[in-house]
Amino acid sequence: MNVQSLEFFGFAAVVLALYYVLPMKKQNYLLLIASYVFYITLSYYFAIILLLMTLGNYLLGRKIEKEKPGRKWLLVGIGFNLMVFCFFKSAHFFVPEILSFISRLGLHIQTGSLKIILPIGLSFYILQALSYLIDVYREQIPAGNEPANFALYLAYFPKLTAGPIERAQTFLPKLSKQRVVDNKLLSRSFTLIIIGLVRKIVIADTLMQAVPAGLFKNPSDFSTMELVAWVTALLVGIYNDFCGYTNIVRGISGFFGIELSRNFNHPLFSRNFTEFWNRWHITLSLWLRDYVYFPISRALVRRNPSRNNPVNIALPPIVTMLASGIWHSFSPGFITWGALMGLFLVAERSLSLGRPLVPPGKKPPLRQFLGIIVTVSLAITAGIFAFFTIPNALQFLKSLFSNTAWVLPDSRVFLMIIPSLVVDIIQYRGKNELVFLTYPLFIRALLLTVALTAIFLFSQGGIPAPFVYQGF
Amino acid sequence: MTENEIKEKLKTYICIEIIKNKDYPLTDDETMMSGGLVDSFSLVHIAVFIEKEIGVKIPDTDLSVEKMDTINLMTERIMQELK
Repeated sequence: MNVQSLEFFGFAAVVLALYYVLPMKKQNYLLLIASYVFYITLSYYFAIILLLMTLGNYLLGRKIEKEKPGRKWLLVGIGFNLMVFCFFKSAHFFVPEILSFISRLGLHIQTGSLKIILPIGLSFYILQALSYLIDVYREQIPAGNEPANFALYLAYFPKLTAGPIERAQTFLPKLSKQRVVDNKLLSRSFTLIIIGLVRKIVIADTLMQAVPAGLFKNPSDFSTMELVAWVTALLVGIYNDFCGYTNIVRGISGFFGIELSRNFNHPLFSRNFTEFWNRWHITLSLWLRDYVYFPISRALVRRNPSRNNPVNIALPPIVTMLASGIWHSFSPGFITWGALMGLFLVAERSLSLGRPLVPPGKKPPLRQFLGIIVTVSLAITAGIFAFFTIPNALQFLKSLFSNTAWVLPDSRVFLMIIPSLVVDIIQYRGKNELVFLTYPLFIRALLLTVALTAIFLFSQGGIPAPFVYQGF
Repeated sequence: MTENEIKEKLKTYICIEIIKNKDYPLTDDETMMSGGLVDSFSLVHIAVFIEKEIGVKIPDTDLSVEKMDTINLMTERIMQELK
Protein backbone atom coordinates (compact mmCIF):
# COMPACT_ATOMS: atom_id res chain seq x y z
CA MET A 1 0.00 0.00 0.00
CA ASN A 2 1.73 3.14 -1.25
CA VAL A 3 1.16 6.41 0.60
CA GLN A 4 -0.11 8.21 -2.53
CA SER A 5 -2.35 5.29 -3.61
CA LEU A 6 -6.13 5.27 -3.45
CA GLU A 7 -5.94 2.19 -1.18
CA PHE A 8 -3.95 4.16 1.38
CA PHE A 9 -6.39 7.07 1.33
CA GLY A 10 -9.29 4.59 1.65
CA PHE A 11 -7.53 2.91 4.59
CA ALA A 12 -6.87 6.29 6.27
CA ALA A 13 -10.55 7.27 5.74
CA VAL A 14 -11.81 4.08 7.45
CA VAL A 15 -9.41 4.58 10.38
CA LEU A 16 -10.48 8.23 10.61
CA ALA A 17 -14.19 7.32 10.70
CA LEU A 18 -13.57 4.89 13.59
CA TYR A 19 -11.23 7.38 15.29
CA TYR A 20 -13.86 10.08 15.64
CA VAL A 21 -16.34 7.82 17.41
CA LEU A 22 -13.86 6.58 20.03
CA PRO A 23 -12.74 8.22 23.30
CA MET A 24 -9.16 9.53 23.45
CA LYS A 25 -7.47 6.56 25.12
CA LYS A 26 -9.08 4.12 22.70
CA GLN A 27 -8.10 6.37 19.79
CA ASN A 28 -4.45 5.62 20.57
CA TYR A 29 -5.13 1.86 20.54
CA LEU A 30 -6.96 2.24 17.25
CA LEU A 31 -4.04 4.14 15.71
CA LEU A 32 -1.62 1.49 16.99
CA ILE A 33 -3.66 -1.39 15.54
CA ALA A 34 -4.11 0.54 12.26
CA SER A 35 -0.36 1.21 12.08
CA TYR A 36 0.46 -2.48 12.42
CA VAL A 37 -2.24 -3.45 9.91
CA PHE A 38 -0.73 -0.94 7.47
CA TYR A 39 2.77 -2.33 8.09
CA ILE A 40 1.58 -5.93 7.66
CA THR A 41 0.23 -4.99 4.22
CA LEU A 42 3.85 -4.22 3.32
CA SER A 43 5.20 -7.37 5.03
CA TYR A 44 4.33 -9.28 8.22
CA TYR A 45 8.11 -9.75 8.66
CA PHE A 46 8.54 -5.93 8.92
CA ALA A 47 5.84 -5.84 11.62
CA ILE A 48 7.53 -8.57 13.68
CA ILE A 49 10.85 -6.70 13.62
CA LEU A 50 9.13 -3.44 14.61
CA LEU A 51 7.35 -5.21 17.47
CA LEU A 52 10.63 -6.69 18.76
CA MET A 53 12.40 -3.31 18.46
CA THR A 54 9.54 -1.64 20.33
CA LEU A 55 9.64 -4.16 23.17
CA GLY A 56 13.43 -4.02 23.42
CA ASN A 57 13.59 -0.22 23.47
CA TYR A 58 10.69 0.19 25.89
CA LEU A 59 12.27 -2.22 28.39
CA LEU A 60 15.65 -0.51 27.98
CA GLY A 61 14.06 2.91 28.56
CA ARG A 62 12.48 1.65 31.80
CA LYS A 63 15.78 0.15 32.90
CA ILE A 64 17.68 3.41 32.19
CA GLU A 65 15.14 5.36 34.22
CA LYS A 66 15.11 2.89 37.12
CA GLU A 67 18.87 2.52 37.50
CA LYS A 68 19.88 6.18 37.51
CA PRO A 69 22.13 7.27 35.90
CA GLY A 70 21.62 4.12 33.78
CA ARG A 71 24.69 4.68 31.62
CA LYS A 72 25.28 0.95 31.25
CA TRP A 73 21.75 0.39 29.92
CA LEU A 74 22.00 3.40 27.64
CA LEU A 75 25.13 1.90 26.07
CA VAL A 76 23.34 -1.46 25.75
CA GLY A 77 20.44 0.37 24.08
CA ILE A 78 22.66 2.27 21.64
CA GLY A 79 24.57 -0.94 20.87
CA PHE A 80 21.34 -2.90 20.36
CA ASN A 81 19.86 -0.36 17.93
CA LEU A 82 23.11 0.14 16.03
CA MET A 83 23.62 -3.62 15.71
CA VAL A 84 20.14 -4.11 14.24
CA PHE A 85 20.65 -1.09 11.96
CA CYS A 86 24.07 -2.31 10.76
CA PHE A 87 22.85 -5.89 10.30
CA PHE A 88 19.99 -4.94 7.98
CA LYS A 89 21.82 -2.10 6.22
CA SER A 90 24.95 -4.19 5.60
CA ALA A 91 22.91 -7.22 4.49
CA HIS A 92 20.94 -4.93 2.17
CA PHE A 93 24.15 -3.59 0.63
CA PHE A 94 26.83 -6.29 1.01
CA VAL A 95 24.87 -9.52 0.31
CA PRO A 96 23.94 -8.52 -3.28
CA GLU A 97 27.54 -7.31 -3.80
CA ILE A 98 28.98 -10.61 -2.53
CA LEU A 99 26.52 -12.65 -4.61
CA SER A 100 27.36 -10.65 -7.71
CA PHE A 101 31.08 -11.21 -7.04
CA ILE A 102 30.53 -14.97 -6.61
CA SER A 103 28.54 -15.16 -9.82
CA ARG A 104 31.29 -13.22 -11.65
CA LEU A 105 33.67 -15.96 -10.51
CA GLY A 106 31.47 -18.40 -12.39
CA LEU A 107 30.10 -20.08 -9.25
CA HIS A 108 26.36 -20.57 -9.03
CA ILE A 109 24.77 -20.85 -5.61
CA GLN A 110 21.19 -20.90 -4.40
CA THR A 111 20.58 -17.31 -3.30
CA GLY A 112 16.95 -17.40 -2.08
CA SER A 113 17.83 -18.07 1.56
CA LEU A 114 20.48 -15.33 1.57
CA LYS A 115 18.13 -12.51 0.73
CA ILE A 116 17.67 -10.22 3.73
CA ILE A 117 15.29 -7.39 3.01
CA LEU A 118 15.78 -4.05 4.75
CA PRO A 119 12.49 -3.38 6.57
CA ILE A 120 10.91 -0.21 5.14
CA GLY A 121 11.12 2.57 7.71
CA LEU A 122 13.71 0.84 9.93
CA SER A 123 16.30 3.62 9.52
CA PHE A 124 13.66 6.16 10.57
CA TYR A 125 12.21 4.43 13.63
CA ILE A 126 15.66 3.41 14.92
CA LEU A 127 16.64 7.09 15.14
CA GLN A 128 13.40 7.78 17.03
CA ALA A 129 14.14 4.91 19.43
CA LEU A 130 17.70 6.16 19.99
CA SER A 131 16.59 9.72 20.76
CA TYR A 132 14.03 8.29 23.23
CA LEU A 133 16.71 6.31 25.10
CA ILE A 134 19.17 9.23 25.17
CA ASP A 135 16.50 11.70 26.35
CA VAL A 136 15.36 9.28 29.10
CA TYR A 137 19.02 8.96 30.17
CA ARG A 138 19.40 12.75 30.22
CA GLU A 139 16.20 12.90 32.32
CA GLN A 140 14.56 15.14 29.75
CA ILE A 141 11.60 12.77 29.39
CA PRO A 142 10.16 10.00 31.57
CA ALA A 143 10.32 6.45 30.20
CA GLY A 144 6.52 6.45 30.49
CA ASN A 145 4.03 3.98 31.86
CA GLU A 146 2.10 3.53 28.65
CA PRO A 147 3.77 0.91 26.46
CA ALA A 148 1.03 1.39 23.86
CA ASN A 149 1.88 5.09 23.52
CA PHE A 150 5.56 4.26 23.08
CA ALA A 151 4.66 1.60 20.51
CA LEU A 152 2.55 4.17 18.67
CA TYR A 153 5.42 6.69 18.78
CA LEU A 154 7.53 4.24 16.74
CA ALA A 155 4.75 2.76 14.59
CA TYR A 156 2.38 5.67 13.84
CA PHE A 157 1.42 4.83 10.27
CA PRO A 158 1.56 8.26 8.59
CA LYS A 159 5.26 8.61 9.52
CA LEU A 160 6.28 4.94 9.68
CA THR A 161 7.81 4.37 6.25
CA ALA A 162 9.87 7.53 5.72
CA GLY A 163 9.44 9.93 8.61
CA PRO A 164 9.32 12.77 9.55
CA ILE A 165 11.67 11.70 12.36
CA GLU A 166 9.76 12.83 15.44
CA ARG A 167 11.09 13.14 19.00
CA ALA A 168 9.52 11.39 21.98
CA GLN A 169 9.79 14.72 23.83
CA THR A 170 7.29 16.37 21.50
CA PHE A 171 5.36 13.39 20.10
CA LEU A 172 4.42 11.48 23.29
CA PRO A 173 2.72 14.47 24.98
CA LYS A 174 0.45 14.75 21.90
CA LEU A 175 -0.78 11.21 22.60
CA SER A 176 -1.64 11.97 26.21
CA LYS A 177 -3.97 14.89 25.58
CA GLN A 178 -7.25 15.42 23.78
CA ARG A 179 -6.66 16.18 20.12
CA VAL A 180 -8.52 19.16 18.72
CA VAL A 181 -9.35 19.03 15.02
CA ASP A 182 -10.91 22.34 14.03
CA ASN A 183 -11.76 23.75 10.61
CA LYS A 184 -8.43 25.56 10.45
CA LEU A 185 -6.45 22.35 10.95
CA LEU A 186 -8.67 20.50 8.48
CA SER A 187 -8.12 23.09 5.74
CA ARG A 188 -4.37 23.17 6.44
CA SER A 189 -4.21 19.39 6.29
CA PHE A 190 -6.25 19.17 3.10
CA THR A 191 -4.05 21.81 1.43
CA LEU A 192 -0.90 19.96 2.47
CA ILE A 193 -2.22 16.75 0.89
CA ILE A 194 -3.07 18.52 -2.39
CA ILE A 195 0.36 20.23 -2.57
CA GLY A 196 1.99 16.89 -1.71
CA LEU A 197 0.13 15.01 -4.45
CA VAL A 198 1.03 17.70 -7.02
CA ARG A 199 4.70 17.53 -5.99
CA LYS A 200 4.76 13.72 -6.09
CA ILE A 201 2.49 12.68 -8.96
CA VAL A 202 2.72 15.68 -11.29
CA ILE A 203 6.30 16.89 -10.78
CA ALA A 204 8.48 14.18 -9.19
CA ASP A 205 7.17 11.11 -11.03
CA THR A 206 7.28 12.90 -14.41
CA LEU A 207 10.85 14.09 -13.85
CA MET A 208 12.13 10.77 -12.50
CA GLN A 209 10.49 8.75 -15.30
CA ALA A 210 11.97 11.09 -17.90
CA VAL A 211 15.56 10.51 -16.73
CA PRO A 212 17.08 8.02 -19.22
CA ALA A 213 18.32 4.73 -17.70
CA GLY A 214 21.47 5.03 -19.83
CA LEU A 215 22.49 8.09 -17.83
CA PHE A 216 23.45 5.89 -14.86
CA LYS A 217 25.31 3.30 -16.95
CA ASN A 218 27.03 5.38 -19.63
CA PRO A 219 27.12 9.07 -18.72
CA SER A 220 29.78 9.59 -21.39
CA ASP A 221 27.05 9.12 -24.05
CA PHE A 222 25.53 12.46 -23.05
CA SER A 223 26.52 16.06 -23.78
CA THR A 224 27.40 18.57 -21.04
CA MET A 225 24.04 20.28 -21.38
CA GLU A 226 22.14 17.01 -21.14
CA LEU A 227 24.16 15.90 -18.11
CA VAL A 228 23.51 19.19 -16.31
CA ALA A 229 19.81 19.07 -17.20
CA TRP A 230 19.29 15.43 -16.17
CA VAL A 231 21.17 15.66 -12.91
CA THR A 232 19.25 18.84 -12.04
CA ALA A 233 16.05 16.97 -12.93
CA LEU A 234 17.11 14.19 -10.53
CA LEU A 235 17.72 16.62 -7.68
CA VAL A 236 14.45 18.49 -8.26
CA GLY A 237 12.68 15.12 -8.69
CA ILE A 238 14.00 13.71 -5.41
CA TYR A 239 13.21 16.98 -3.63
CA ASN A 240 9.60 16.98 -4.85
CA ASP A 241 9.25 13.26 -4.19
CA PHE A 242 10.32 13.50 -0.55
CA CYS A 243 8.74 16.91 0.10
CA GLY A 244 5.53 15.62 -1.53
CA TYR A 245 5.56 12.50 0.66
CA THR A 246 6.09 14.59 3.81
CA ASN A 247 3.26 16.97 2.86
CA ILE A 248 0.86 14.08 2.26
CA VAL A 249 1.60 12.31 5.56
CA ARG A 250 1.54 15.59 7.51
CA GLY A 251 -1.83 16.32 5.95
CA ILE A 252 -3.23 12.88 6.78
CA SER A 253 -1.89 13.09 10.32
CA GLY A 254 -3.49 16.52 10.71
CA PHE A 255 -6.91 14.91 10.22
CA PHE A 256 -6.15 12.84 13.35
CA GLY A 257 -5.22 16.03 15.23
CA ILE A 258 -1.55 15.05 15.40
CA GLU A 259 0.68 17.60 13.65
CA LEU A 260 3.95 16.21 12.30
CA SER A 261 7.17 18.16 11.75
CA ARG A 262 8.08 19.92 8.55
CA ASN A 263 10.94 18.32 6.59
CA PHE A 264 11.66 20.88 3.85
CA ASN A 265 11.90 24.65 3.75
CA HIS A 266 12.81 25.49 0.13
CA PRO A 267 16.32 23.98 0.16
CA LEU A 268 16.94 24.98 -3.46
CA PHE A 269 17.01 28.64 -2.34
CA SER A 270 19.82 28.04 0.18
CA ARG A 271 22.58 30.65 0.01
CA ASN A 272 25.14 28.47 1.78
CA PHE A 273 25.53 24.91 3.09
CA THR A 274 24.58 25.80 6.64
CA GLU A 275 21.26 27.04 5.28
CA PHE A 276 20.96 24.02 3.01
CA TRP A 277 21.10 21.60 5.95
CA ASN A 278 18.58 23.70 7.86
CA ARG A 279 16.21 23.37 4.92
CA TRP A 280 16.70 19.82 3.49
CA HIS A 281 15.35 16.78 5.40
CA ILE A 282 15.10 19.00 8.47
CA THR A 283 14.11 16.30 10.97
CA LEU A 284 17.16 14.17 10.06
CA SER A 285 19.46 17.23 10.12
CA LEU A 286 18.17 18.24 13.55
CA TRP A 287 18.53 14.68 14.88
CA LEU A 288 22.14 14.51 13.66
CA ARG A 289 22.81 17.99 15.03
CA ASP A 290 21.44 17.19 18.50
CA TYR A 291 22.84 13.68 18.94
CA VAL A 292 26.06 13.71 16.88
CA TYR A 293 27.24 17.25 16.08
CA PHE A 294 26.52 19.00 19.39
CA PRO A 295 28.03 16.35 21.72
CA ILE A 296 31.25 16.14 19.64
CA SER A 297 31.51 19.89 19.12
CA ARG A 298 30.73 20.74 22.76
CA ALA A 299 33.37 18.29 24.05
CA LEU A 300 35.96 19.80 21.69
CA VAL A 301 35.08 23.43 22.52
CA ARG A 302 35.24 22.70 26.26
CA ARG A 303 38.82 21.47 25.77
CA ASN A 304 39.81 24.35 23.53
CA PRO A 305 37.33 27.24 23.16
CA SER A 306 39.19 28.86 20.24
CA ARG A 307 36.91 29.47 17.26
CA ASN A 308 39.91 29.12 14.95
CA ASN A 309 40.96 25.68 16.17
CA PRO A 310 41.10 23.44 13.05
CA VAL A 311 39.85 20.35 14.93
CA ASN A 312 36.86 22.27 16.33
CA ILE A 313 36.05 23.46 12.81
CA ALA A 314 36.60 20.25 10.85
CA LEU A 315 35.84 17.21 12.98
CA PRO A 316 32.16 17.75 14.01
CA PRO A 317 30.77 18.50 10.50
CA ILE A 318 32.78 15.74 8.82
CA VAL A 319 31.74 13.09 11.38
CA THR A 320 28.12 14.30 11.26
CA MET A 321 27.89 14.24 7.48
CA LEU A 322 29.63 10.86 7.29
CA ALA A 323 27.01 9.58 9.74
CA SER A 324 24.35 11.02 7.44
CA GLY A 325 25.90 9.22 4.45
CA ILE A 326 26.05 5.90 6.35
CA TRP A 327 22.46 6.35 7.55
CA HIS A 328 21.37 6.59 3.90
CA SER A 329 23.41 3.59 2.73
CA PHE A 330 26.62 1.67 3.34
CA SER A 331 27.55 2.15 -0.32
CA PRO A 332 30.87 3.90 -1.08
CA GLY A 333 28.90 6.46 -3.12
CA PHE A 334 26.82 7.64 -0.16
CA ILE A 335 29.85 7.68 2.14
CA THR A 336 31.66 9.85 -0.44
CA TRP A 337 28.57 12.09 -0.63
CA GLY A 338 28.64 12.49 3.16
CA ALA A 339 32.37 13.23 3.19
CA LEU A 340 31.96 15.86 0.45
CA MET A 341 29.06 17.54 2.28
CA GLY A 342 31.20 17.63 5.44
CA LEU A 343 34.11 19.16 3.52
CA PHE A 344 31.84 21.81 1.98
CA LEU A 345 30.69 22.82 5.49
CA VAL A 346 34.31 22.96 6.70
CA ALA A 347 35.36 25.07 3.69
CA GLU A 348 32.45 27.45 4.24
CA ARG A 349 33.34 27.88 7.92
CA SER A 350 37.06 28.31 7.18
CA LEU A 351 36.42 30.99 4.55
CA SER A 352 34.35 33.08 6.97
CA LEU A 353 36.90 32.99 9.83
CA GLY A 354 37.92 36.36 11.25
CA ARG A 355 35.51 38.35 9.08
CA PRO A 356 32.59 40.36 10.50
CA LEU A 357 29.51 38.20 10.11
CA VAL A 358 26.81 39.32 7.69
CA PRO A 359 23.63 37.19 7.64
CA PRO A 360 22.92 35.75 4.14
CA GLY A 361 19.65 37.70 3.95
CA LYS A 362 21.46 41.02 4.42
CA LYS A 363 24.02 40.47 1.64
CA PRO A 364 23.56 42.25 -1.75
CA PRO A 365 20.98 40.44 -3.95
CA LEU A 366 23.61 39.46 -6.54
CA ARG A 367 25.77 37.79 -3.85
CA GLN A 368 22.72 35.98 -2.51
CA PHE A 369 21.90 34.74 -6.02
CA LEU A 370 25.50 33.61 -6.61
CA GLY A 371 25.42 31.89 -3.21
CA ILE A 372 22.34 29.91 -4.31
CA ILE A 373 23.97 28.92 -7.62
CA VAL A 374 27.21 27.77 -5.94
CA THR A 375 25.41 25.91 -3.12
CA VAL A 376 22.97 24.09 -5.41
CA SER A 377 25.73 23.26 -7.95
CA LEU A 378 27.96 21.77 -5.26
CA ALA A 379 25.01 19.91 -3.71
CA ILE A 380 24.32 18.40 -7.14
CA THR A 381 28.01 17.51 -7.57
CA ALA A 382 28.00 15.66 -4.24
CA GLY A 383 24.66 14.11 -5.18
CA ILE A 384 26.22 12.56 -8.31
CA PHE A 385 28.18 10.24 -5.99
CA ALA A 386 24.96 9.24 -4.24
CA PHE A 387 23.00 8.64 -7.46
CA PHE A 388 25.76 6.83 -9.40
CA THR A 389 28.42 4.21 -8.70
CA ILE A 390 31.81 5.82 -8.00
CA PRO A 391 33.36 4.92 -11.41
CA ASN A 392 30.24 6.21 -13.21
CA ALA A 393 30.20 9.37 -11.04
CA LEU A 394 33.81 10.05 -12.03
CA GLN A 395 32.96 9.34 -15.66
CA PHE A 396 30.00 11.72 -15.30
CA LEU A 397 32.24 14.52 -14.00
CA LYS A 398 34.79 13.89 -16.74
CA SER A 399 32.09 13.94 -19.45
CA LEU A 400 30.71 17.15 -17.99
CA PHE A 401 33.84 18.98 -19.16
CA SER A 402 34.58 17.04 -22.34
CA ASN A 403 31.29 16.33 -24.21
CA THR A 404 30.55 19.95 -24.95
CA ALA A 405 28.49 19.33 -28.11
CA TRP A 406 25.38 21.56 -28.31
CA VAL A 407 22.56 19.06 -27.71
CA LEU A 408 19.37 20.35 -26.13
CA PRO A 409 17.99 18.25 -23.29
CA ASP A 410 14.49 16.79 -23.14
CA SER A 411 11.88 19.57 -22.87
CA ARG A 412 10.09 17.66 -20.03
CA VAL A 413 12.96 18.70 -17.73
CA PHE A 414 12.09 22.39 -18.10
CA LEU A 415 8.35 21.78 -18.15
CA MET A 416 8.48 20.15 -14.72
CA ILE A 417 11.28 22.13 -13.06
CA ILE A 418 9.38 25.37 -13.75
CA PRO A 419 6.19 24.43 -11.79
CA SER A 420 8.38 23.18 -8.93
CA LEU A 421 10.17 26.54 -8.84
CA VAL A 422 6.89 28.48 -9.14
CA VAL A 423 5.35 26.65 -6.12
CA ASP A 424 8.58 27.21 -4.14
CA ILE A 425 8.82 30.90 -5.06
CA ILE A 426 5.18 31.53 -4.07
CA GLN A 427 5.65 29.78 -0.70
CA TYR A 428 9.04 31.42 -0.10
CA ARG A 429 7.86 34.94 -0.89
CA GLY A 430 4.72 34.43 1.19
CA LYS A 431 6.91 33.09 4.05
CA ASN A 432 4.26 30.40 4.48
CA GLU A 433 4.01 26.96 2.89
CA LEU A 434 0.21 27.33 3.07
CA VAL A 435 0.17 30.84 1.61
CA PHE A 436 -2.50 29.62 -0.88
CA LEU A 437 -5.01 29.59 2.00
CA THR A 438 -4.71 33.37 2.27
CA TYR A 439 -5.88 33.87 -1.34
CA PRO A 440 -9.46 34.99 -2.19
CA LEU A 441 -12.00 32.14 -2.45
CA PHE A 442 -12.28 32.35 -6.24
CA ILE A 443 -8.49 31.99 -6.73
CA ARG A 444 -8.36 29.10 -4.24
CA ALA A 445 -11.17 27.30 -6.09
CA LEU A 446 -9.39 27.85 -9.40
CA LEU A 447 -6.05 26.57 -8.05
CA LEU A 448 -7.73 23.53 -6.50
CA THR A 449 -9.44 22.69 -9.81
CA VAL A 450 -6.15 22.98 -11.70
CA ALA A 451 -4.32 20.88 -9.08
CA LEU A 452 -6.97 18.12 -8.98
CA THR A 453 -7.15 17.99 -12.79
CA ALA A 454 -3.34 17.73 -13.04
CA ILE A 455 -3.23 15.00 -10.35
CA PHE A 456 -5.97 13.07 -12.17
CA LEU A 457 -4.32 13.38 -15.60
CA PHE A 458 -0.80 12.54 -14.39
CA SER A 459 -1.94 9.57 -12.30
CA GLN A 460 -3.32 7.82 -15.38
CA GLY A 461 0.16 6.60 -16.34
CA GLY A 462 -0.08 3.33 -14.38
CA ILE A 463 1.18 2.10 -11.01
CA PRO A 464 2.49 5.03 -8.94
CA ALA A 465 6.25 4.99 -8.32
CA PRO A 466 7.24 4.32 -4.71
CA PHE A 467 8.74 7.18 -2.71
CA VAL A 468 12.53 7.36 -3.04
CA TYR A 469 13.12 7.73 0.71
CA GLN A 470 11.23 4.51 1.51
CA GLY A 471 14.34 2.85 0.09
CA PHE A 472 16.43 4.11 3.03
CA MET B 1 23.49 37.31 38.52
CA THR B 2 20.51 39.41 37.40
CA GLU B 3 18.61 39.01 34.14
CA ASN B 4 20.05 42.26 32.77
CA GLU B 5 23.61 41.25 33.63
CA ILE B 6 23.11 37.95 31.78
CA LYS B 7 21.76 39.80 28.74
CA GLU B 8 24.72 42.18 28.70
CA LYS B 9 27.24 39.32 29.03
CA LEU B 10 25.59 37.40 26.17
CA LYS B 11 25.39 40.48 23.92
CA THR B 12 29.02 41.41 24.47
CA TYR B 13 30.21 37.85 23.80
CA ILE B 14 28.04 37.40 20.70
CA CYS B 15 28.96 40.77 19.16
CA ILE B 16 32.70 40.41 19.76
CA GLU B 17 33.27 36.68 19.30
CA ILE B 18 30.50 35.53 16.97
CA ILE B 19 29.55 38.54 14.83
CA LYS B 20 33.07 40.03 15.06
CA ASN B 21 31.64 43.53 15.20
CA LYS B 22 31.50 45.08 18.67
CA ASP B 23 29.35 47.94 17.38
CA TYR B 24 26.64 45.62 15.99
CA PRO B 25 23.26 46.91 17.27
CA LEU B 26 22.08 43.57 18.67
CA THR B 27 18.65 43.90 20.25
CA ASP B 28 17.08 41.60 22.85
CA ASP B 29 14.56 40.23 20.39
CA GLU B 30 16.67 39.98 17.22
CA THR B 31 16.27 36.48 15.76
CA MET B 32 19.87 35.30 15.59
CA MET B 33 19.45 31.66 14.53
CA SER B 34 16.60 32.07 12.06
CA GLY B 35 18.18 35.34 10.88
CA GLY B 36 21.48 33.62 9.97
CA LEU B 37 23.68 35.33 12.60
CA VAL B 38 24.17 32.24 14.76
CA ASP B 39 24.65 28.75 13.30
CA SER B 40 25.26 25.39 15.01
CA PHE B 41 29.02 26.04 15.25
CA SER B 42 28.49 29.39 17.01
CA LEU B 43 25.69 28.00 19.16
CA VAL B 44 28.06 25.45 20.69
CA HIS B 45 30.49 28.26 21.55
CA ILE B 46 27.66 30.24 23.16
CA ALA B 47 26.56 27.14 25.12
CA VAL B 48 30.11 26.57 26.43
CA PHE B 49 30.41 30.31 27.23
CA ILE B 50 27.17 30.08 29.27
CA GLU B 51 28.53 26.97 31.05
CA LYS B 52 31.82 28.66 31.95
CA GLU B 53 30.70 32.22 32.68
CA ILE B 54 27.23 31.70 34.14
CA GLY B 55 27.54 28.13 35.39
CA VAL B 56 24.44 26.82 33.59
CA LYS B 57 24.44 23.81 31.26
CA ILE B 58 21.85 24.04 28.52
CA PRO B 59 21.10 20.51 27.19
CA ASP B 60 21.93 19.84 23.53
CA THR B 61 18.28 19.29 22.61
CA ASP B 62 17.45 22.77 23.97
CA LEU B 63 19.97 24.45 21.67
CA SER B 64 17.11 25.12 19.28
CA VAL B 65 15.45 28.02 17.51
CA GLU B 66 12.49 27.72 19.89
CA LYS B 67 14.68 28.20 22.96
CA MET B 68 17.80 30.09 21.84
CA ASP B 69 16.84 32.29 18.89
CA THR B 70 16.99 35.65 20.70
CA ILE B 71 18.82 37.17 23.68
CA ASN B 72 15.48 37.19 25.50
CA LEU B 73 14.91 33.46 24.88
CA MET B 74 18.49 32.57 25.87
CA THR B 75 18.15 34.56 29.09
CA GLU B 76 14.77 33.01 29.84
CA ARG B 77 16.26 29.51 29.40
CA ILE B 78 19.23 30.36 31.65
CA MET B 79 16.95 31.86 34.33
CA GLN B 80 14.91 28.62 34.36
CA GLU B 81 18.05 26.73 35.38
CA LEU B 82 19.10 29.35 37.94
CA LYS B 83 15.74 29.25 39.76
